[in-house]
Amino acid sequence: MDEREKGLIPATGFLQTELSSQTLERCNALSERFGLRLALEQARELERARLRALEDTGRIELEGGVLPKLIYAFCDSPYLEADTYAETLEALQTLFYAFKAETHDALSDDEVIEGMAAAFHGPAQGSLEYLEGLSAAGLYRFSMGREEWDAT
Amino acid sequence: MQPDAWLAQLDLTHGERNLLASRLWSLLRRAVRQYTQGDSTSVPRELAEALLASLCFTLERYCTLGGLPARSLLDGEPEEWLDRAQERLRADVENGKRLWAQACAGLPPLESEAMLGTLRAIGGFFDRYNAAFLAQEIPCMIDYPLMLPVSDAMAGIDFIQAYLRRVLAENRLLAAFHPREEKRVNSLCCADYAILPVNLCLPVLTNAVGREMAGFTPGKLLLTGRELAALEERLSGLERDALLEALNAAARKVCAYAGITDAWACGYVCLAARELAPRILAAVPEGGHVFLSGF
Repeated sequence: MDEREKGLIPATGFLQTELSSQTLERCNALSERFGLRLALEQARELERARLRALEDTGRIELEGGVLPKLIYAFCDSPYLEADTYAETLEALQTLFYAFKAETHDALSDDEVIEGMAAAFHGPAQGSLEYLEGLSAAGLYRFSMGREEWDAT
Repeated sequence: MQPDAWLAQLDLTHGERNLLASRLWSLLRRAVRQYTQGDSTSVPRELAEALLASLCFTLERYCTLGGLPARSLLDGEPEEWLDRAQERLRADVENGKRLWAQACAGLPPLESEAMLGTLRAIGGFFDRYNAAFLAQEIPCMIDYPLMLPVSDAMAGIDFIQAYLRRVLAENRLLAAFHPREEKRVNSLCCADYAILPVNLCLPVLTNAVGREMAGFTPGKLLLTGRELAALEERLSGLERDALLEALNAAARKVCAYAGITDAWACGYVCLAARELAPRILAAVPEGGHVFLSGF
């Protein structure tokens, strides 16, 4: 364990709570209506990806995590498929933390997710590459309900 | 002190330290929730570190000021500890405002852009100070230098209170002498004293103490060439301990002349006077001058 990991706010996710099995079941109960479900190992991998995303963006998350909100916002998407569900959620989760950092927390979690969903279901037509190329200003416009086809 | 360093130096067992850390984490979770108003589950690392530093600063000062051992924080609910500590902090902020008002009311007749600007900035501090979440910060610029600076280890409202106490003591001393003499002494020390960030009190204290040590008339500041020579002759050959004693005794007389009866303020002035010793020991034997002559 290096010196940073011994600190009160260690570099790794020592403090950061995991997705509980109850929360996972609630999320699956919601998404199963659309033929989407996360296996326990996939949920664990998403948790590891969350910690990597937090580390990469220099952020700390002490309780919960954004995954349940992402699942709620995207599970009814026509662009999500069962065999790529976990991968897509991982990409959306990573993008979420990147957007939080790029917008300097000017947008709340809900506003970021609303913007991502509006873009994803709008001009992106399910393209994660489109979302990856979205600027902070573009995300802001989508979050305000101002869809622009050239928002990037 | 950084939270990790603070936690490491506490007189706690390893298990107690872990328990305190977990209590701090629960307080940090609450602070993040409150700071973001529930809008964000994640925050930048720097913000989390600052929020944690604020919690530790607030709790540590509460224990220190109350004479409580850190182990006390392991009893009861952490939220209740923080509430009491923040209540104490808010009371000290109000005390700080009173000190600031006194400092503004007791400005010396000497002009100093740096002093005026600093007092104005400290007024702004009370508007910007975030006691709830960033209690360790000092959101203002302090340009006016004191005779003896406040320790960098002090933070937040503690730094401001300490700074203002020193300003009050110095300005009390400055109020005891004629403005014309003070202007002359300060001009001899630095021609642009009114514009530059230089301390106004040290030249005054230096000459006041020098005159006391030489047995000259109190209340005046300027030294004639003959008086300066007599003073320096008296000081040359004095060993360090004897010089310190002489400086201390002279400073006490200066305080008495200035009507400074507060023990802390008098102690501050005496400490500043004793700090002249290295300069006197280095300069006087070599023909250098520490005391100012206007003739």
